[in-house]
Amino acid sequence: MDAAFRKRGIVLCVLAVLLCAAVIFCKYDYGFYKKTIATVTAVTETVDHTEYGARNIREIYYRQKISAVIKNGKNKGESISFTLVRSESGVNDEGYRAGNDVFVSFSTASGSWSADGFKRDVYVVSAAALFIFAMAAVGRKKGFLSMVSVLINIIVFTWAIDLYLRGINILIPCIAAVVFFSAVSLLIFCGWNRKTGAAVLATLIGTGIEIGIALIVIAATGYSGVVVESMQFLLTDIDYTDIFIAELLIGGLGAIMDIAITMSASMQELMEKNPDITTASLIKSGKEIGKDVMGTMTNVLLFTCISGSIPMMLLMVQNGIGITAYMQHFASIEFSRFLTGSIGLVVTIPIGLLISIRLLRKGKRTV
Amino acid sequence: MMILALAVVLLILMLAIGGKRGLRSYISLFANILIILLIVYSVSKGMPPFFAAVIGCMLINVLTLIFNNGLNIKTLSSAVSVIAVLAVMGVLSVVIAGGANIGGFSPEEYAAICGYSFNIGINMPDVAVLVVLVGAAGAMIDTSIAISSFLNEAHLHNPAQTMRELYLSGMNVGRDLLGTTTNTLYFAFLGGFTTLLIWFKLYSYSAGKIINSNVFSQEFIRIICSGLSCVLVMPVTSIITSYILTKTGGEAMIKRFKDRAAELFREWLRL
Repeated sequence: MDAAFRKRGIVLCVLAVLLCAAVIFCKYDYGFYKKTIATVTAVTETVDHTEYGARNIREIYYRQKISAVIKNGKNKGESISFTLVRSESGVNDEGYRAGNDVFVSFSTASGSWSADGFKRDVYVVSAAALFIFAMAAVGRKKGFLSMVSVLINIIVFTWAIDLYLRGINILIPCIAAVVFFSAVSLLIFCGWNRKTGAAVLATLIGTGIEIGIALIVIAATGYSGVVVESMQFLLTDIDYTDIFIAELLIGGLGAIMDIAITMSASMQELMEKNPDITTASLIKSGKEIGKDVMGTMTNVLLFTCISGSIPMMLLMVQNGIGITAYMQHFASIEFSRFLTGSIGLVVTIPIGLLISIRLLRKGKRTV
Repeated sequence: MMILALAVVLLILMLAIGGKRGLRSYISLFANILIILLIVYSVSKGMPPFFAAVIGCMLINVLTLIFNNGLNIKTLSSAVSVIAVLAVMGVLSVVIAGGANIGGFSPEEYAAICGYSFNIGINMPDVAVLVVLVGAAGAMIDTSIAISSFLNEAHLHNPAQTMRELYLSGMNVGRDLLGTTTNTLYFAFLGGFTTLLIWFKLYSYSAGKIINSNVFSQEFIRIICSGLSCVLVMPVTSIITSYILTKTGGEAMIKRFKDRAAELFREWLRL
């Protein structure tokens, strides 16, 4: 067992302990919540009634009689019981099992307790902990750096949203954020060198073209078919169109950065190993590389953007709305993000290629 | 209309920049969309969501890999690796996504769904697991094929390498890929999250309220699981591919990835 291996092992063990501590803390953090939390001790479930939905789909409703113990606040330790009704499907409600932590509230009007939502923080934190540990164990230093860059990006992003809400047009902090995210993320991964510079430049130009194309298409088709109403739950007096464009910008950024760095890293490598390589030959190789990534990267984007729409699709289908109508109508936001992101990524292939060749070539000559 | 226009623009670009391969990639995108629709259709007809997830992910796996890249050692080892990680993710999703009660829609989304009947006879918590798995499957295929493809090239260049050497090389390449892949996932997530974030800020949600909300947890857990599957698929693909290449005497097939893989190989060999 060499020293590096042992050192890594120790770091991982410490990390594991910290993460476990975080998860356990979350499980018992009742005291930190202002809302009352109760742990379910027993649930008895009986059939309450049956309803029928569109297309005569039968839905059974269950009544749960729940006993629970309060875990915080002034009623701590008190045993309470309440009932709720849940549907078989669980579209807009949820049921509980023994051991679940649930937020509860007391209504003086009816003199009884009721459930107010599931306490999920443990699961969210566990998922994050698993991911962090896996990244650290498998990804080691690069994994760690990747998470650092993600954290920085999140902070800047929230700050940009703050600026927006204070009245500044969203596009300005967004564009600034885009530039910042690209530069920071790429710098953290790849260090301060020409390769990164080429990648950042390619990212910015690629993103610019992506948005340019998107805006042209929007102008030409006038948002027809894109239902910005699905953002309607944001209520009034916010300009959805600006937010929409901001989402397009950010959504595609990761994929574009990936392509940009792939291009510039490969070009640099080729040039280093074959200093006499011709530009034509570089371009040919670059094109091949680009074709390789195009297929799988666009698929990654597809699944990330679209898989979240599946529940909504099901809701529509079960209500008799055709899937194509759904896709045209509601998934348009996710689809737009996927399509513009893919456009951006495809466009960045030649751009990244040409910029890298130009920048890296120049660098070589001055050396 | 707008989506159609964007789709056409994408097709033109993929053809222009990718040629015939670009066209194939485009078609595979549509095929995957069709698979998703098929999944929705089967679940609506009564297929248990978890079962649909398994079958759907297999189809996606096979289709994306083999259609895009042909049937060869690389795609085979990728396919096997993805299936292995899917098995692990299946268990994880059931525990986390199932346990976290992230099925269905949350109160914040009520305005978007109130026009519909909620009596749909489908187990939404199970659908949440399905969504996590489908998202993860799509994400990890990219990482997997990149690694197996690279290892194939490395083996071609230097057939004398032992399985352990190949494995370590694969891990090196994988680490760099990991950073950019998680970046892609993360930004795609953030794009969708913008609207939510504005909502949270507008209504002054406390951190506690955000973390516990269904709408946040759903998205968050989904992306975490996608990322996690990418992280897991890396060592799994490295082991399986290096094993197939060294122990079973797998022949090198088409050398289409030769240039790229060769470059990457030399770069990380240097590091």
